[in-house]
Amino acid sequence: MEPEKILELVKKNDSDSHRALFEAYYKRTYAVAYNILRQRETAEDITQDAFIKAFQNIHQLQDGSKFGAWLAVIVSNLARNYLKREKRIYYTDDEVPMQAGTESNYTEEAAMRRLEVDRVRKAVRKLPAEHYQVVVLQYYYDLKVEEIASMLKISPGTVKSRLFRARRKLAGELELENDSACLYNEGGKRDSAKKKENKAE
Amino acid sequence: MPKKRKIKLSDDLIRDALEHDLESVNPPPSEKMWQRIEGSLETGRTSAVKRRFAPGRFAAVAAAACLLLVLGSIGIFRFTELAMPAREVEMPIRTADEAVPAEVEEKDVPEVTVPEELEVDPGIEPAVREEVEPELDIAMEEKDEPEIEVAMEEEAEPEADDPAKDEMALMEAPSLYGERDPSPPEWQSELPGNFTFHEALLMYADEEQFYRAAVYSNEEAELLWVKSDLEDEKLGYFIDQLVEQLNEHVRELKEVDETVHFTAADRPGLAWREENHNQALLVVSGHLSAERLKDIAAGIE
Repeated sequence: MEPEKILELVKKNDSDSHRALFEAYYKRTYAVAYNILRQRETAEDITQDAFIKAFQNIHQLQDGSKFGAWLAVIVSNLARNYLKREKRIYYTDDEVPMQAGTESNYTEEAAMRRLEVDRVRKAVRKLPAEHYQVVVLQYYYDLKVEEIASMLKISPGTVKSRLFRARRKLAGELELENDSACLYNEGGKRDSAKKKENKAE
Repeated sequence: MPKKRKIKLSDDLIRDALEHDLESVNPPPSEKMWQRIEGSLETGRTSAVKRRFAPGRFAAVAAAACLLLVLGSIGIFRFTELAMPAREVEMPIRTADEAVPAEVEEKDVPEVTVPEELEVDPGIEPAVREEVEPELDIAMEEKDEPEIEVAMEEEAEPEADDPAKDEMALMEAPSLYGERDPSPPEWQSELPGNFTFHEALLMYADEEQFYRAAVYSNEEAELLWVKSDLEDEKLGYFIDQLVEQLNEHVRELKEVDETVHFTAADRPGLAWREENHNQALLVVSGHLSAERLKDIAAGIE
């Protein structure tokens, strides 16, 4: 959904617009909850709670076009709080059934790429909730460090720290050697190349 | 079967993995969930998550109830015992053969009053009850937790290779200015002006680069003394990065005698190079003049 359309729906803030936003973000919001909780039923409840809280507090959202990222923050926080309350960490992964049609005939290159994506996907799922949260916000929702910090109400330094640790954990999980890790740090749409130039001047 | 090759963990790969993960999941049907959400929005209910009745919790509840009974019994026992006249009362050991009832003349029995110190502490029972009730109430409305307005400086994540240390650090409350430094260098215990050392921190300027910092405070202000390990870092860049970590902007930058004077959030700061490394001293809360800050910086060893 285009940012302008999201903004329009958020501003409208009525039942129809809530329905439209729900349909647009339901699947990925559920996925975030499930990846933290690893239980379908609880993920369903948490997803429902997240949407309710989001719609009840939508007036707090400063930038309406960031509704998706904001919702991801709400659902991941709810999931984390649930885990803390229930004093659980991770269950055994009951694999989420994938939609039909995801398997197809690949060229060798595409097949290798698919394997890499699968490996990284599984490694990402093993990240602790607070690292998973910032990774989703940066890489999926394309938020800048400052935007993530503002949304999570933490310092930019803490965001950077979590991202760094997340990437390090991913590298460890994927059993990468240093030279093949290539932990690029662009992330999102930030111009980190410019920052590196300033640093070296 | 395509052979494995080394993975380059690029941003694109992480992005693809997340897209694949979040967009290809098969959630439960949306219609039913939407109906529940719509219903909740109309009625004002906030939570679908029900507390499960876990045996462990039941045991805790039972233990709390027993404790309450015991405390209550002790309280009642003490009350009845000490309400009797203040005289030594010998409690003879009675055997089955002995049947010597205590002869207490009615006139010796004082009127029962309740000494103040024996009153059951009104705080105990209700407090325990408060502890017990939420556990028994299975389908209670979940407390409205502030997930939205989240002041999530809740974990300190020190740069530690020891996983056990990481776990401990998760439990600690974070600092406002950065994360606790798990292995700080030796900072001066006090700065001129009775500024005493408070805590040592790490402030992350970049994903892999951090500054070491120490917080000093007295009754009037709080100072941050920051040291950078980078040798080729421009002083201006250092100041920018540092102030950005405090969610502020630099204003009024000027250089005097190889020291840069700046302000951030209308508070003074100083930055300088020492042995090819940048350092800064700035006021982060309270009030302190630039002149006094300069005097304090002069007293840094």
